[in-house]
Amino acid sequence: MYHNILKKQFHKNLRYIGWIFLIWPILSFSQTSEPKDKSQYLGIFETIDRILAIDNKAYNNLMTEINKNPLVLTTIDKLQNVEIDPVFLRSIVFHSATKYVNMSADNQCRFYAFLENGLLTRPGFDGNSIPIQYERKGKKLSGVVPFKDFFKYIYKTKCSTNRDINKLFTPENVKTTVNAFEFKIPSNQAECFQIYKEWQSNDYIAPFCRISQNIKLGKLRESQLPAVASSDILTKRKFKSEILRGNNYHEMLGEFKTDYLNHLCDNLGSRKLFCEKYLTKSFWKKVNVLSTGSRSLEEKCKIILKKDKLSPKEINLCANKLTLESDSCHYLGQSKYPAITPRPNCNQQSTALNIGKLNTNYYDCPAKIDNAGISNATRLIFHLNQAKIESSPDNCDTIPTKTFLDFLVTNKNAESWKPRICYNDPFNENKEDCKPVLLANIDYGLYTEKKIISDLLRKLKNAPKKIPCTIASDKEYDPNRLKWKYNCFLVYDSENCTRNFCPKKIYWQNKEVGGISYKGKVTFDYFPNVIRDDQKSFAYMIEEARKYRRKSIKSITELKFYLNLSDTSVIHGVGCVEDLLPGHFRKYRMNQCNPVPFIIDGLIEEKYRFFVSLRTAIDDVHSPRIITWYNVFNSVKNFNLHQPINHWTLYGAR
Amino acid sequence: MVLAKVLLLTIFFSESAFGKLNPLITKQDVGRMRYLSEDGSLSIFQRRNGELSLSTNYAVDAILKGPPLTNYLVTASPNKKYFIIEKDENYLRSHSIRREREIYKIIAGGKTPDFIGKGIASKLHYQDTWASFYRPYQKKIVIKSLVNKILDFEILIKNPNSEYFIPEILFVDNNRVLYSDVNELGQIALFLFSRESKKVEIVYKAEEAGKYLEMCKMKDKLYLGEFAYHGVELESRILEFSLNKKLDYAKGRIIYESPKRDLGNMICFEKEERVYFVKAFYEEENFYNLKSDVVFVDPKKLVLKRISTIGDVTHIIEMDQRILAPHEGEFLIVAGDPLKDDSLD
Repeated sequence: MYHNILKKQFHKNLRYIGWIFLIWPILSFSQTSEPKDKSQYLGIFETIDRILAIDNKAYNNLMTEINKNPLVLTTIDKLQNVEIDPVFLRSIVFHSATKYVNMSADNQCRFYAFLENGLLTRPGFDGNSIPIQYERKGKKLSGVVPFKDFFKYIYKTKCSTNRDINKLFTPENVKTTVNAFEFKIPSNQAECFQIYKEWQSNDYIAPFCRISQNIKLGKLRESQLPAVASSDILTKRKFKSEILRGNNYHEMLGEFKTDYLNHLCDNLGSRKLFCEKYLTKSFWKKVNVLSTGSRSLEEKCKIILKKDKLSPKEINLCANKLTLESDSCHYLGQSKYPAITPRPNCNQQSTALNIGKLNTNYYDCPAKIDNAGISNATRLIFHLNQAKIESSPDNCDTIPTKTFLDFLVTNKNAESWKPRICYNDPFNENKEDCKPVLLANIDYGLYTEKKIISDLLRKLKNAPKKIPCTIASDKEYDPNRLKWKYNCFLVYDSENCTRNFCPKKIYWQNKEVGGISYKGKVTFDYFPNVIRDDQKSFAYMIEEARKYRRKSIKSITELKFYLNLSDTSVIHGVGCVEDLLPGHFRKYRMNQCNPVPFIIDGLIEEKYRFFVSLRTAIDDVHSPRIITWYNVFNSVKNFNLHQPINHWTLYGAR
Repeated sequence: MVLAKVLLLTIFFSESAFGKLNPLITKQDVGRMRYLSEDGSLSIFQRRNGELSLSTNYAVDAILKGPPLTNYLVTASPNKKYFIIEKDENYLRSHSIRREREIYKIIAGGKTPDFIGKGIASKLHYQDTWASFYRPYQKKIVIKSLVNKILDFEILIKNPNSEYFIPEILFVDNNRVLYSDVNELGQIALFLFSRESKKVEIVYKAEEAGKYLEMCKMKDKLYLGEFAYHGVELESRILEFSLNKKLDYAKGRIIYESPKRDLGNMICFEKEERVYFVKAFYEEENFYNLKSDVVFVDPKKLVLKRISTIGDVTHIIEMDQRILAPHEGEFLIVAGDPLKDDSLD
């Protein structure tokens, strides 16, 4: 049992503080001016103001007294009944954060730990020395001792665990200690409450929260340093030292542990606030999303904050905005990564992202790719390979197209790639020869458009080796200007050019070159449309590549079962876009159905109704939708009418 | 904006319409049908070999031919003077949502189509004297006269960054065309183009982004529906305007209004003088738990009536005096007479 003067005094002071707001000052050490009208009840702020004044006066009086008769006690061991001076004690209890006060109310060692780590403190207290009270010949006397000496004295007789813990947090040992410690993240409320309870009774809490405080102080000093006068060398030195200390701790802990500790220490007093962050329904504010990064959040925040690099604090601010201003997501990112608009609002995206599992560690732009089959196929490939791609607005269309072509080539299906450049080969009786081409302004080995044309010009027109060819629109190309007179130009009709088919006129030395033509559009079977062509379909190829058996999904039970099979299992299908996005695409003719591939990666069940997290191939990959299962089924069923082999186009993939 | 009183209040369920709607029964595989007249005497259907065929007076003729798996769409109007046919040769393999189809016009019941252009979302207007279609890559509405080619014209829309946006078009009369456009912020607007003056004036611009407009006519009234896209939580409304007066959005009479998103797909069914559309019924407070069914609003009586209780209707289409709801591979008859079953057994 813990019975000592400190506890009695401590509780007495707590009671005093509690009554202060109701009864006029009863502090015996202070000399206060009584209010003229005792019956006058002051407002709460005015009361606090008065109490602060009282406390400050009492503390200042104490320090004045001590300084009048300074007593530096080097042999504290010889003193009797040493305790922290009650005025000082009362003052730090009054000024310190309630969470630390409450946690140390019934635990003396905890109290000393918090005091030693600077978590219980008051303004003006420098932490170098501590006022004490002791007895001599029956008289109570005040003095001041070095801070460290006081604790050495205390730990000789009690709370020696504190001394041992302090050793674990010395600069030499702190890294090892932190690395060995598990910072648990709860996944449900019960778990969270348990973790919170464990932290409440954890002996390491004081030094951990000291570290958190130092990190925050370092950040504060960073912002304050520029305002310090250059002549104020002492302050500058002090700030720099605090910044360095904070940065060192931050670097040692890393983003996740820093964020964790900051959140823990900020919310030690409230289990609800501590758990809210982990149990929040908002995807944007989930701790793992904030700390480990998420492309779904990252790009939105870059656009909102108009910055390319964001600090954790900025991402946090952005996450708050997305949570509170749900409409802000409708057109975010559209100019960089065009897809169908409006995108679902932030709340809906958050719900879908919470239940989904599609790997989206990249950006794509369906409107630029302009081929829903390629968009969906590459999303599936990236997901199953858990790919992480450094994409940008400049390559968000070419990377997926190239990835798809790679996939065809790897799976011995290059002939499925239809776009070709054809010419009549004079060395082969003018027979037509065609070369497959990737219609994009990138280098891709044998499929590079400019390279193919350059080689053909050398073969057919005796042009020099490797002449550079430039792609330009008919609006840009002006043969009358010097710039366009020489070299090779591939000129396309801007009214007749899409990603899927973009024939060009070829100009070499200011003359149009005949005999070379563009043929074939990007067409392929996503699911087989003819039984004999099954092996040429993307669905077959992905099954072969991933070695999983084809499983069609015809009911909600099958969908649920398949999604739970593994971390990567998702559903992909093709349905009528009008049924999935009825506002965007209106059906007004009999059997109107524009097929669109889609991916389902999550499921919600609510009162016997089912809803899926779904991205059509023309949706932004980071903006999934919640759609009823009935609508999905309806969409696939209506598309089934158009299927020549009566194929049910909804399958699992993993 | 001066609003007329909103008198939409009563939703009641009639015994006969509650629950199931009857499916349209056809002699042909309904998946191949592209048009069926009210009395069944004229039908257009496609074959697996890529042909579009017309069946009438017990004769079947090929109207258009294409490679196997070519898909066709047939647009008709209540006037039944012309059909507009869209032909898509790469329907199952192309995967481009915006790909343009070959568009043909054909006299109703005729066998010889004429090519009129390439585009999507073809429609017939003003007693089948005009046809329109949209060219998404050029952002151009192409309007073809079915009377005299010289009268053909085009309207360019701005639509800076909504690549999949398809404008709504409606001929107010032979001279004036209403069409929708959207700006870079996603705000939908309604414009009125005059063929005579070649001028465009703005009729309405939505304050909020994320909405689309639908239009239909019934006698001398224009009905303008304003609905929110999927994923946008905004209100819905349908307004009525007189075509005999200058179009002033502020003077529109609200015949339907809801604080929540509906699916729209309005049809002005002149036969019954009702406006049909697909309404959302929200079961819970969350945005996704909704059921969608067909309702109609009677503009004169200002009554709303629920026709279906299926819960996942997304569209209704009008086809020769009938309104059908495509649902799970069937066509449910929402309004109009079912076909008489003249089979022998």
